[in-house]
Amino acid sequence: MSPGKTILIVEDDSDVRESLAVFLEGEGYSVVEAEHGKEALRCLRSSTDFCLILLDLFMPVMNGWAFRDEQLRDPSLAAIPVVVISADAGTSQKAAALGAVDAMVKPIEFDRLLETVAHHC
Amino acid sequence: MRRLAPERVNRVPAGDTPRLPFDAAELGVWEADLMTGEVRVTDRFAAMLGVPPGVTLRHRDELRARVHPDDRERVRAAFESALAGAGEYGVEYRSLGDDGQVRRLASSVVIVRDVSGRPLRAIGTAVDITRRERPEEAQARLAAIVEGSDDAIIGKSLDGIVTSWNQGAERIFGYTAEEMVGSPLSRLVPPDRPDEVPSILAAIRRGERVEHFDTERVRKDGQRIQVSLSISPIRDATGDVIGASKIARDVTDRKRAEEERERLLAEAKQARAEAEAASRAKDQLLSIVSHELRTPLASMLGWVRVLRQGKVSPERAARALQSIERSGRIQAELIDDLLDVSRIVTGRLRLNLAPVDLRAVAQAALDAIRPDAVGNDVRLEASLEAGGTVLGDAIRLQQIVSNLLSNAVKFTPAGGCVELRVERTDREARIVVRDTGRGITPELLPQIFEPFRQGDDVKTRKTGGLGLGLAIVRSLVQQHGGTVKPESAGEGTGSTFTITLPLMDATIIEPADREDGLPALPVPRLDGLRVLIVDDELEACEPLGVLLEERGAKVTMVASVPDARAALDNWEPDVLVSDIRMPGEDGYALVRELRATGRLRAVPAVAITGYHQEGDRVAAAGFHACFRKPVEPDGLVTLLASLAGR
Repeated sequence: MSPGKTILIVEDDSDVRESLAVFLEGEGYSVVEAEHGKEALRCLRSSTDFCLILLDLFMPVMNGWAFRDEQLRDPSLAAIPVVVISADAGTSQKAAALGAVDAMVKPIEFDRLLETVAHHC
Repeated sequence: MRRLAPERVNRVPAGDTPRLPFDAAELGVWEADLMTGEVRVTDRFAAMLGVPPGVTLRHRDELRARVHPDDRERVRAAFESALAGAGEYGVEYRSLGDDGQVRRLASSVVIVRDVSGRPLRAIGTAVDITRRERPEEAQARLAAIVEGSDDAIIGKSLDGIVTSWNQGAERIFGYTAEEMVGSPLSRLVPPDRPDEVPSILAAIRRGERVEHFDTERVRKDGQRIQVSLSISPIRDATGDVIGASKIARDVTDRKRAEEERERLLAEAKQARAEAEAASRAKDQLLSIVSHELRTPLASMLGWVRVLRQGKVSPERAARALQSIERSGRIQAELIDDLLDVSRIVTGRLRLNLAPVDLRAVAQAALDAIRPDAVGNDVRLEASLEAGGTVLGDAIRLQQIVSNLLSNAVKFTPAGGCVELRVERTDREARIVVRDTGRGITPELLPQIFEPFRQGDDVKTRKTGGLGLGLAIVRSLVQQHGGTVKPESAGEGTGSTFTITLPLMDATIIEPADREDGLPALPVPRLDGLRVLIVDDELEACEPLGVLLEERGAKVTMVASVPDARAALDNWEPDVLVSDIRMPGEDGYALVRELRATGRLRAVPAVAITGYHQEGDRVAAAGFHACFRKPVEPDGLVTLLASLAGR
């Protein structure tokens, strides 16, 4: 269990990202949004409060794979659990290869998302 | 007279009968008293003459009678000559037995004389050599084998001169023995090939064999053949190499079969690689399609869930609804594009042709893209006044312009500009979409019209979509008889797309009211328009010809490409209408030829086909448009008028 209480959403599609954020806030969580991997790293390094990262894979600037590389290379970030959210049909395998704790294919099942989030935050 | 058992011959007293140095079992022996003509023979000799057991020979005449009639004179002469001279002789003759069998005997005879030299007795031995082969027979048999061989069997001297040449050689190389014996073997070596004969001869001189040496030779008729050579030294009695025998086998067919097999293998490999590539491409395509369809769905369902939470502000709720609407629209467009591409690929995309004012089309597309342009902070510029009328499908024409504008806005950074111009020349309308965006790399430029082709790496691309927009644009433009040309000086320099469409400024006449009650399309006149129709099924085409003539056209109909060529020799049509599939040369060949040979390069051509043709192929061959059978007459009339610039 991570010490923080904030969820980081890394997703380039603003509609998807925003709807997720508003939904999770509605459920009482604190949420920070990042448009791509690079921005996500900036957010992670400016606060120690993150309990979970919801990570899209296909993104401009820095995609999910590159982000995960950077995260694992940084000891202060490596332990934060990652849930991969992607519209890709092979999301589960890709998430497993990235060492993510869970994988969800878009459109996301929100009840399952809430369970996962509750487990980690 | 008694018959002697063989062992008893040996008991003839020494001095009377010479000892016989042969194996008695192999040897027949006889003795004749030259004074009385009495004979004694061993059983073995009697058997050699075909005398049945139990019959006793008593007189020389009985021996003579069993010599083959053809050989009797020869045997007699040998005997007479021995009698007169040397006193002994050897002779080979045939016996003709009482049993009818012919045996070949080798006989030695000695004449025994008294002290005064008077001949007393003749003692003869004979061996049955029926089963032995005579040297000339052996040679003849070998010669027959050599002659009958399918392989070329050639003798040559150590300086490479042919000494023998069999029928196989004649058949394989085409030269007769007469032509080749005495000639150098190098005659057969292709002129452009190093002559291997000297090096082969050198090996032969060293006493070596050359086996299965594959090389090439030239026949008398100049044809090249693949041969496999085996060459052995020929030695004289002292073991010196005095020549070579060469066996050459024509392996042209075998080589060809090997090559064919390798070609088939390579083809199979290639086909498998292509199938695998196609399968990978299909997987990738499905994955892209699924990804692109799921993304707007994620947004829609996300916002729905947010709204159901019931905890959002009215502003947020309005934003949610807006987003749901946008995502729904995006998804609908994706599905439309997919269906369009599917129709294009299967040749089922149909145009509802009517005269269309390009200004209206351009304006509608411009209005539709404005919100996106504003959202992306991209400036829109337009000059549409010069627009003309084309024969087309208004909705599809707007789709063409919209796709180009949408791409331009998508790939132009904030602060950039997208320009839309409609222009015209005498015969063409032109739509130009220019942007100041990121441009297209020269490597990508030739591929941009391929379906599902996108410039970005899919993992990091900024813009979504299926990569179908330009593929649809190209097909639609081609179906309208037009062209689309992309230009970009490279990355970061912006792009320009220019579409040309045939103008339609024809005299429009209103046809009589139609029975089906549908709104009538205005159909132009074709007065004086020379139309050449090429179709192998002329009868089926007849109504079309009549209809075009009713519209004022002058129609010439021919049933084949050669007929068309003949007609075009001294006559030039304004428009060509050609079937695609015809026996012999097809419509593609005809139009390609016209396009290639100057004089009729510019004559507009319309393809008519009963098959689903790919627009690309029709356009690539040089057709301006393609109609599927059965041809919709008004559509064709309008198109012909438009193509002819009426």
